[in-house]
Amino acid sequence: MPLPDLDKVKISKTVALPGDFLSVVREPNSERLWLGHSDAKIYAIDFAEEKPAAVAALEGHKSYVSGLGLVGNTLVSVSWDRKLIWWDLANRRVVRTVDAHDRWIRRLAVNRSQTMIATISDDMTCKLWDATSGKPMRTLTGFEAKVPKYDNPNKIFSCAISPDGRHVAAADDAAQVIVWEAESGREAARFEAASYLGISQGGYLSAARICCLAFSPDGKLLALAGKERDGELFLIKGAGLVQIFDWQTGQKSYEQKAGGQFESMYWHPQSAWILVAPFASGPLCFLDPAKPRVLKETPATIPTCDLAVNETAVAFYTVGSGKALKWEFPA
Amino acid sequence: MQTPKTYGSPTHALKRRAFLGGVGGLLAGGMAGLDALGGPLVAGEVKRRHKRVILLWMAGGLSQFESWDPKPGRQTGGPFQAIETSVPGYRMSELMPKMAARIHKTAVIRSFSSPNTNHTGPGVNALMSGDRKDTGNVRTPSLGCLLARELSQPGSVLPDHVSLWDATWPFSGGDKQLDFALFLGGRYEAINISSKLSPDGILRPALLSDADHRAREALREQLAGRFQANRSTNEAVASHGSSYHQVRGIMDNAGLFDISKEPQEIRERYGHSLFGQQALVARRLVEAGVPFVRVTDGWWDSHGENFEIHASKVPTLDRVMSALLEDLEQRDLLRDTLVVTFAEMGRTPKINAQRGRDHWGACWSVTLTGCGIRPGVIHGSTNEDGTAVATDRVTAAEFFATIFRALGIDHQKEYLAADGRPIRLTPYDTEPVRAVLA
Repeated sequence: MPLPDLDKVKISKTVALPGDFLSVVREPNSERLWLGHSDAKIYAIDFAEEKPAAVAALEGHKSYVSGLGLVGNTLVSVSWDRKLIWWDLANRRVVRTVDAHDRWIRRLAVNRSQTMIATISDDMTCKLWDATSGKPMRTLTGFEAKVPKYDNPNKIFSCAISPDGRHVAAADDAAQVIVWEAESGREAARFEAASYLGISQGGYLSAARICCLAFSPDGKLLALAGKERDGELFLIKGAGLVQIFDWQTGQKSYEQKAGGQFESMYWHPQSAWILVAPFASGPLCFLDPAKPRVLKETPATIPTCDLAVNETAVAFYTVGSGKALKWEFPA
Repeated sequence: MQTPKTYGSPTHALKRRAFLGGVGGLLAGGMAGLDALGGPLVAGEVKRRHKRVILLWMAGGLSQFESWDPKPGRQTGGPFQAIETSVPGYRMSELMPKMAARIHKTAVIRSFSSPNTNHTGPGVNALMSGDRKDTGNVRTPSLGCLLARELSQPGSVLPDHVSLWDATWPFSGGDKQLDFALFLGGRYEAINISSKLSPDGILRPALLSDADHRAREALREQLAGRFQANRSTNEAVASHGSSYHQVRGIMDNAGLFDISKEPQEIRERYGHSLFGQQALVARRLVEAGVPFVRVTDGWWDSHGENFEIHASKVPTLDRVMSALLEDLEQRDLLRDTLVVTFAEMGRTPKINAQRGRDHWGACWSVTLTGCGIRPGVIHGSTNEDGTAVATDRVTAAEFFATIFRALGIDHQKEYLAADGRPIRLTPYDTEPVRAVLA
């Protein structure tokens, strides 16, 4: 896989729509994106078109569409309405709707073989689902219902499935990271990433948290991205933070501060770089996973909620407040 | 022992909280407290005569969208759903299931409107005085201080106005932005208790014997009596005397602030948040006869991550408020206790680029429960997107008049400003919201 020249990165196409694109998934070998929106709809954008536009394609959720995944020609979506929906993209119809969680669903992840879906929710569980039949496989637990020392409800913001599909990781608002064995549901590891623990004294809240997770291509490391502990939540400000842990030992091996609150992350399959995109003001950053340094940063231009990268990592898409953007590295 | 410098010019206000911080050791103190009054169920006929108020203050501005007036499915609505409530046809945010189940005992005003959109300064000062325009340059006291005076009991040794904060007020001016007795006198200023459950310095120092303590108090009273003899009309001197009197009362009732005396089941009901524990202290205070208690929950100022803040904090509000109302009801105190939710402002319909909501005064929600209130009334409404009042706009003056009337106080009652000018509790043409009055 040839590596692009990071210095050439630029936005090549833009699609605007009022509100927020919260989640995105790309159909393989195409430029067709499916995007979950704050208006509870799922939109389609084909960036291969000369003048791409967002088209409302799928309606069925009742709240923010917070996560999307693809299982063959089936789109899977989750929402703050607690539902997990399978959609037949050919006919644009609902295949199956499951009342998946007791509280808001924040994200989903699909394993590479497209056999298993992981969903996370503020009911403080991570659930595994058979990607084809929709049957529940396992409920993964271990997080506290409330943030320790405070009376606030706990939350899970992020999850990831290892490249070999054997492990599932999730992180909560108390900066606890748990890695489970997908097959048995056994807790394989647990560690605290205290730099992201943000709730401060007496009723004040902080924006600090772990917003996204990514396993390294060999599955041995787990990258955490979000916002470090800094200030209160009146405004999202301060540095974004990326840390990498050997998840089996809980040892931190890497830390890089940059930009704003990172809410989406992509670990290059050859470990050429880690791409993180900020929701808060701050640049899009390409980080060197080998040692803490910023390889390239460029204005993100929008508060970014999610990103998708193509097969060869020479084009990617960021989505967020009011826009979906296509990025390329032109020669 | 070093005594605080609380004397000097006649206008040098002798604030009770200064005494609580340093003078407590001068005074004798028993530990009679609430329990010596006969336990929590002593709230019988004697106490029932006295009206009281607990103000649940949502510092920074609770979002009406994520609480009392949700707009699910609208562009302004955010991610949370609305749920059915015990009042048919009225839906609340899914973040408040406990209050939704008992909202038929509360009155909700969804059409409150005020020009204020600030945490500090003249705007919020005006709001706390009822947004009145009839007094020219004369500042009038805040709601809490007015109620403290109107509901105070002659000869009471308890404070008239206690303010509990679960977080520190982050702006200059501190609590004076929200509560100011002005010419009413220091007696009605708030005793502020911030980030804890009881005032400092209410226990007699271990090295001071009770006999010495009482002897010092006797000496102080003797000297103060001589000093006051020719100054009977001086407000500062009068405040000084009443402050000492009430400090003594607090010391004698220090147990009021000790929630460990409550059954575990009650404490669990309020939860483990400081806001919850302070609400329990508030119940103990009003039960003992304190007329006005503010319980402040901070910090709701959700310019960023509005939904995360409300997802974290509204369930706590839901738990604490429902526990407080249930507790008051079970003790037969709710008929004489008015519980109010209020704040500097509401939050904007527009969701900003930080997933936040900004300051908004045009239309937001307040609630009233208990004494003098018709339960289950949902008064006023906003339009589909919550951008404007649709029906029955309620001003701060009308809201305050409603509070006064609910408590049996004539909202047109006159009192005298510092210059002798008669001023009514609310402007002369103000009408209470009769729809929510029992």
